[in-house]
Amino acid sequence: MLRPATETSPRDDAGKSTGPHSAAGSDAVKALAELQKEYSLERIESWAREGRSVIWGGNSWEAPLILSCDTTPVGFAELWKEDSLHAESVAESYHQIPGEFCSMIKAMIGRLHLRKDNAIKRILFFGSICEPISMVLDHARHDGYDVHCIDAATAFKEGERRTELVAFLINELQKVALWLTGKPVDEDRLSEELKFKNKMVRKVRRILDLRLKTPFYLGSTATSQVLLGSTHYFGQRERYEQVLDQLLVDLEAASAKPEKRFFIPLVLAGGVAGGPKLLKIIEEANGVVLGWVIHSTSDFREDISPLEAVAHYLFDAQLKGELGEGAGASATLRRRRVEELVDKTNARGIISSFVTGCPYGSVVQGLERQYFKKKGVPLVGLEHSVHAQEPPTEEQVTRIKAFIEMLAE
Amino acid sequence: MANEARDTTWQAAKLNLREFAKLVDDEQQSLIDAKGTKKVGYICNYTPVELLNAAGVRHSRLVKTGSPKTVSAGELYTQSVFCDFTKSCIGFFQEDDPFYKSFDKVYNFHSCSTMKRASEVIEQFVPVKLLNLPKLRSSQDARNFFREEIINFKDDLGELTGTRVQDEEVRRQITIYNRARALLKQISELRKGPYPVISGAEFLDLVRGYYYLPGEKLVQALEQVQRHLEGIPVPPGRPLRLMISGSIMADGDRRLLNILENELGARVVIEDHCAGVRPFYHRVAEAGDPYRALANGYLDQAPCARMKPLEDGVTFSGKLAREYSVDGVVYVYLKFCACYGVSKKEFISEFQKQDLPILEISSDYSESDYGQLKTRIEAFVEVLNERGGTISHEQYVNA
Repeated sequence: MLRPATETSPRDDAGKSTGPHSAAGSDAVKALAELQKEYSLERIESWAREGRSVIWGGNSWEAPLILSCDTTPVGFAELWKEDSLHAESVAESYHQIPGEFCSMIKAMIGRLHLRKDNAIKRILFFGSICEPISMVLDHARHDGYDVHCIDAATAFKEGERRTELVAFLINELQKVALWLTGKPVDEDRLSEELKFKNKMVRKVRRILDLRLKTPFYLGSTATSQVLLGSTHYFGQRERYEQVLDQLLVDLEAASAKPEKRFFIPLVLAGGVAGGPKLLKIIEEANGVVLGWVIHSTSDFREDISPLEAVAHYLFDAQLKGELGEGAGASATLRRRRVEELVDKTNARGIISSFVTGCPYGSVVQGLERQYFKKKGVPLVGLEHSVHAQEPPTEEQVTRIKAFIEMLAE
Repeated sequence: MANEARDTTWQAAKLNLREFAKLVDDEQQSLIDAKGTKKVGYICNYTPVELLNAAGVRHSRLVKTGSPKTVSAGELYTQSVFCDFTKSCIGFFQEDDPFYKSFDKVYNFHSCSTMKRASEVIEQFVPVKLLNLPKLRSSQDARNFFREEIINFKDDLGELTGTRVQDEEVRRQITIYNRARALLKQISELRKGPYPVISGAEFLDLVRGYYYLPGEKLVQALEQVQRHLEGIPVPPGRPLRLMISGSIMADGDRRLLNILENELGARVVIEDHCAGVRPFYHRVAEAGDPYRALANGYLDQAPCARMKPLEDGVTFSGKLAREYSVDGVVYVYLKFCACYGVSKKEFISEFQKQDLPILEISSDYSESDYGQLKTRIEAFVEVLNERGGTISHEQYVNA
């Protein structure tokens, strides 16, 4: 699969490949970029001002439920895409959040405070999320936000008390529907949402599989957008589906021609909350992220009631270590998914990244470092902030480049 | 003559406290040495100890403060971003500490996410069972769910020992532990008077008994301590009265108390943390379904800040400050403790509403900042003394 470098793969400013097989100039990639650009906080807030139901949170495993309640879930990540340094300083001074906590929670609460007069006034969070996020959202109540908690429920081990857990969570999900609409869950609507989500995820899985053959066609940054979009569809589901279809056509065609250029296949364990800059560095060093651990590409079950399907989806994800701390995922079991992706993608190494100050990230990285050392799979640890406006640090650049160079030898 | 009698009673009481501390230490050694019995460690106060006793296991809370070396051993897994208490828990296992090593199984009701992660690491050393603890403490659904988790816990203990836990024995243990909690609360309340007959450090030594002694032995020892303390004629005067509020002050974490009480002569009269009085402000119903009773009782305990709504914990803290007529509050949170670090503004605002001076300390288990810590505490105590901390207790309460 791997060939010696005969040519380097040139890239454009956005980190997308621009080589002969690149899709950078394709209509599909342009449409994806356009979708992403339109999905701005200003745009989302304008929907809320127009009277649409919009909430902060609810943008992970529970997204189909929220969408079935005619509500747009907005990921907390939108809070730190802009003005995050200012927001962090607000959190430290106004909310008195101690400096040692991660930039993510500080940017979140600072930005919620700065935008307290805006139209999105409801927040949903899951009780099994990390304590820093759970605690920081308490401050938002003082700014008039209506904060709803889905009570904590975690599957710690496979097979343990699944029936009771599912029953408890279903009840909690019903409360979410009541909170949003004043009515119980519309199960038919939820079924439709799950089917649509499964349909999108099947396409995403195919795109990821095709990237194994044509790794340069769709850059890592664009791929991460495809994955992120599979939850919120950028608020425009039909257009999102069209983009996926276009990408599939392009990728199927491109994959007919074997890739000859040199690259280092990698698995990314953890997120890149600070935006595309780290992915760009990886690509500049001839690394290609082919395995993405934090995003789930699993299906919701369609053979059981939709509420049960949502509950099982969450508990399965926790046991696979998918969806991260936001879903209360297991720290020790994530390695199974990492390992599965290493095998599937023939990855030469793992980049394990977390936001500085994140206890979950630090322990999961420590455990995986030990585990993969024994397995002989190289792993490099990477810390980053959520501040997209900050350039990558010298340390980050050096670590990534040195790691990939080492893998290339 | 009266002074001599008082001194004799005082000395007898202090001797009794030392005996209690020895009892607790001996129990730990006895747990290490015990053969032919299952030994269980637990991490969080939301673990119903009644069931551990009913199951006939030797048990102890994993509540020790680690040395900087132990903390550093824990950091092999957590890097620096966990609180030192969590790192100590892991570190003791990593260092093969004989006490921690002796446990057959560790249970953790999912308290904070950090302890959940620590439990996952501890599983590398000893079997661990994590159990769910709902956050919404007032919700009936949460109570029903917690009851099921408690039954799950009971069944698992039965599997561990090979003997089914009997409901009657659970009920008996509920009565015993209600008595133990009531005794500790009553002993703590002896400090509500102008001159607290027991220091903060001594009270925490009694609390250790709750985590290391089996129920009946604990009750017996506490009854004796209570009798001695109630017999002490209260000396005149009113020392500076302080409250400690915030993160866990684990077994052995006495730096702050040493400075406050031994070096500066102030008295800590109340401790609102999970190794202080917080677990002793609830009673478990003794009639009806024992598992329902445990679920309700434990969710009704003075809450950890992890529980929702946060206001419940904040209000409880403020109430204690009033009940114990404190002159000031030392708000201490362990570095990286999200429950008390991220929410500190809420707690501090509550004390400010009561016009109580507050000293905020971000703490860890290192030894290098002792001088700096002492300087800050000294300045705080001086300010309080100048503010009139030594007025008569009646004056203070009336004011």
